[in-house]
Amino acid sequence: MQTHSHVDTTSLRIRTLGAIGVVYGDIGTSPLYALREALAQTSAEGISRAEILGVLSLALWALIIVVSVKYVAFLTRMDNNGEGGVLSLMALARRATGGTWVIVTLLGASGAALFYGDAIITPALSVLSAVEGLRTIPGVGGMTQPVILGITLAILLGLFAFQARGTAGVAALFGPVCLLWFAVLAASGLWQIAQHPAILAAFNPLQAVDFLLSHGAVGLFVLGAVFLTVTGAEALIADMGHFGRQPIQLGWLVLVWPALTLNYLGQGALALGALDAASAQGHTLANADWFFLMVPDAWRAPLVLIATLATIIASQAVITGAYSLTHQAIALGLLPRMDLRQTSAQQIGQIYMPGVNWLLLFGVVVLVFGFRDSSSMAAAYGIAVTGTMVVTTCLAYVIAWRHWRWQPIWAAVLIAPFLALDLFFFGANILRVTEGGWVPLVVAGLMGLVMVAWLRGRRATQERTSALGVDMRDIARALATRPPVRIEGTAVFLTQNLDIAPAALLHNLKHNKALHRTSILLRIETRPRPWVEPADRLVLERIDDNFVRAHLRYGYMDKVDVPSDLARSEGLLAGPGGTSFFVGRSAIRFATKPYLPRWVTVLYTFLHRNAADPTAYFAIPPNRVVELGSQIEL
Amino acid sequence: MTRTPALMIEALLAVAAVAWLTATLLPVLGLASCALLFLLPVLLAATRGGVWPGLSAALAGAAAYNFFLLEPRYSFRVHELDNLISVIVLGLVAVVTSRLATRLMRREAEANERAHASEEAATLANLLAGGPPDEALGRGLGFVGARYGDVRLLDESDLTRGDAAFPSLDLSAAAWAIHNGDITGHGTETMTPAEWTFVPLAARSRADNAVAAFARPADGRIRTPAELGQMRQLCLLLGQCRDRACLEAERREREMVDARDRLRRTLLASLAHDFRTPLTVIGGRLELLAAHNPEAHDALLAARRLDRTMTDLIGLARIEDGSLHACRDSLDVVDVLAAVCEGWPMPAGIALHRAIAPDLPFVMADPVLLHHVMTNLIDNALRHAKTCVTVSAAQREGRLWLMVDDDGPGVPPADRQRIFERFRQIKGSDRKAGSGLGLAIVKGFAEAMDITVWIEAAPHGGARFVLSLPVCGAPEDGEPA
Repeated sequence: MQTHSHVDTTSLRIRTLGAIGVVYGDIGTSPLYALREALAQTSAEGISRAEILGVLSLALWALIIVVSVKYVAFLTRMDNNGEGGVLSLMALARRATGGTWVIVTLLGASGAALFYGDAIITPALSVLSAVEGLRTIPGVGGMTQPVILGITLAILLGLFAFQARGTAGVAALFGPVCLLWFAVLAASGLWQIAQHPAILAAFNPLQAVDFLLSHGAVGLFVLGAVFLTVTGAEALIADMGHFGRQPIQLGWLVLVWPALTLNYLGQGALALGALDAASAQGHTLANADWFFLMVPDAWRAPLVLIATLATIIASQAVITGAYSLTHQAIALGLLPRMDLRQTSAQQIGQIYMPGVNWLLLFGVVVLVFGFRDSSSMAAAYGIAVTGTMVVTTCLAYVIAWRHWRWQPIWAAVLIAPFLALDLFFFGANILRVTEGGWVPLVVAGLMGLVMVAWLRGRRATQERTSALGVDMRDIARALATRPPVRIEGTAVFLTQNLDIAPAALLHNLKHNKALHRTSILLRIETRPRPWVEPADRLVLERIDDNFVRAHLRYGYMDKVDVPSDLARSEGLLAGPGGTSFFVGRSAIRFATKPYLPRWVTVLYTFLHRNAADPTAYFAIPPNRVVELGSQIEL
Repeated sequence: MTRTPALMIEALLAVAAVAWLTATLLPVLGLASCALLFLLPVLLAATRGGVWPGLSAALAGAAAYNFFLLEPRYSFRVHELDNLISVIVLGLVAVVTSRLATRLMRREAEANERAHASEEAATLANLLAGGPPDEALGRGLGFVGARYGDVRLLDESDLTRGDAAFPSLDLSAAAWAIHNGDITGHGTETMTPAEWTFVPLAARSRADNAVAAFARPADGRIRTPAELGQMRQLCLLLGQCRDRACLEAERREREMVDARDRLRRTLLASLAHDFRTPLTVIGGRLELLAAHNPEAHDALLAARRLDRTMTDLIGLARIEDGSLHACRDSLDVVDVLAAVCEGWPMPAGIALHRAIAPDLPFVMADPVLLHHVMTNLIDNALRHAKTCVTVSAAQREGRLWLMVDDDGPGVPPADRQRIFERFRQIKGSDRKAGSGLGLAIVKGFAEAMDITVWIEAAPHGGARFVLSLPVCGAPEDGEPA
């Protein structure tokens, strides 16, 4: 239930196992395609020994610098009361800058928008690349592209259809399966390294530098593909709130990093061996599915199976991440309210959002049919992830400067190398925008439009209602001198602005000609912090005997439960006659003198009309709600 | 599903056994029958454990079949796509069987649960049906408490009083349940963080609704919707029992009032009778004494008053028993008044005037009762008057009005109805305490004779008591009786 230790208090070992199942699924499935894609960029006239070592060196050092140094050592320390992720950083930066910097909101919105691009590519790409492993099983013929696409789609449809039932029941399996997966990665890598130990030379960073210097533009393309090895690093900070910093750092340093390093080295060793064999026969070396070829024929089928399981778990983590990001975006006012269901009564945070789920599935299916194989899709992947990383780094700078109170110059000195690296990767990926990189950009652009329309529309609506409203104190004074009929009970009016009389109250007075014994004007606000203790949520201010102003403040990760939080105040809801909630529902009309650009109004009207019922979001029982309509011209 | 790991291991053991059997007997049995044998562990695991044990048995079986039996034996190599078919079939069998089996098991579990629920409800209904309802309610609460954790009954009065056991959130949840008839608190959708679950005893909102508060389970479990539904049913039964208990309490209350009344009436009757006889003797002697000795006058007055009080008590007892029967005679009010006023020992300083026209029509009344009524009215007026009491009569609206006026403080309009109630004396007027019975007797006797009585303000201040008497039929009937 709602205990307030938001981090599990179970032992470190259990939490680390949980983190391995959720946090590292995405980055752990990169070996399926990352090295193959990187080598593919140089394979035009066959692959040379120096290219293998150079690409591998790049991959190993990308893991070291981007993941171990930037994320594990640095960014995990940057948390908003324990919560990480791009929106938590945005909220922290908002708090640190007093909420006045538009750039912070813009950065957060673009980071969130890019994440949706990431969230549709990860399941499509990783599951597809695992299923493509079927081709490498000898003796299984007939694995044509339609068959592979069919199997992939079946798995993905099943995965998305399963979401509504919640993952609490099977989540316990994620950790052990991923543990097995990383063990397989390490073992297969070790086996190949033992056969061609020369690959260990790739640890020398000079190999990478030489490669970049000697390959020019191709080097940049390779760099863009090498970046695939670190996709999923963002999850390290996004899931920090669930598991805590320590298990995430421990899992990376003890298990995931060594396993990934060994596996990439093993793939390189295999390529070296294949190169020796090819040159002995006088051929050039063609690119291949190095990951699956690492194990002997007889073990391919089990490997494909466990790879598929691992990619399903990785996709699950991204889908869950999309729900929780959407939940935060709604709470922070970036997106309209959407239908949200708790899938487990035992665990908070187990949520399911049908709208997000089906939109993601739609995107995934379009991607699978549009790109048809994992190599083409890989081109699209990098842009979304590097974009998010650039945003994270920029927010990190704002936080280091304004929240940690570093000298701007020292903050810049520390962050600039990271930003340069991110921009370098981003630039390398931008080169492939025509190959499919535009897809995440389009998705992010659409999401960005939605967020902008929602932000502007909401602000405009609030300004209009404030401008047209009547001062609450005047109304209270007028009603005190000429009291209307009073009926027993408590009425709660949901409003955005506590100073003006809510339209629902005026309507009620006008049409029913009566008021309740107690009327509570309630404003619900989300603070830029993840949690607000239940005891600190409610601020009450009495206007007179009949009117009370109530201000409820929630964190953006809190579950909103209005009746409970009002009830915590002594006697507020315990009076005779019961409680009714009055909600104003405003219809939006076009004003003759437009208040906003027309396209914003049109989009905002659409979002507003389709936003989920606020009462469900606020946990108000539907049989206690009275909705009263009004109109707003924008 | 907690047994799943054990069942999985069991399934894997079964697969291992089949694998060993088929591997040794392959030349005898042939490949096709061996493949069929692998279905057995799948069926077994899927029926008993559901999808996951079934699927693991299918996967393990397929792997073992591939490894031990298919050429090349003792390797996982798959040569032809055909061999995949055995894997797929095993998987399908596992899925289909387990789905059927789980559905069947779920049905059975549901049926069991429902049977258990209705059995529980029946047991509770039995408990509640026997014996006095409030004891039964206590037993029922004990029964429910033993099954669903610490339970208490709360109603509106508990809410206003507050209770240390319930923090504000829980009190509000209880109020919500009482006022709105919803189930609230822990495990429900309304005010989930509360420590208790509040189940209303009546389905719909009612003024005298109450809730049963159940403490959240001690083991930290969260109540399931099915459990809450069952609690709701049981609480409705408790609610019916509580209603019966309330009715019972009301009936007992009424009985107690009746018994008290009966006792009072008996007491009154016997008191009146046993006092009367000695009092008559005392009164007679005092009258004789007073004729010669003026000092006995006071004692005579007191004896007369006591005598009147006794008469009142007896009259009251007769009204109460319903044994009062008024006869209807034609009476001349002049005679009646003369009889009342005659021999009245007048208190000092107060004059009694009579203003009765001699040509008034006869009235229909009981001579004894009317005498008593007038005595009481005049006695009352004398006790409240400052200087004089006037008795007058007039013919109004076809009835004869007899009016007794005094010049005392009068009766405020608010008290004019209540003054006729028994033992009622208006505040501030107890200067000359009467028994408080006199006016009740007036009212009771007057009603028995079809006479209406009320109070007005007298023309010169003070109170005016009016009796409105029915007049004898036609004027020519107005012969003296």
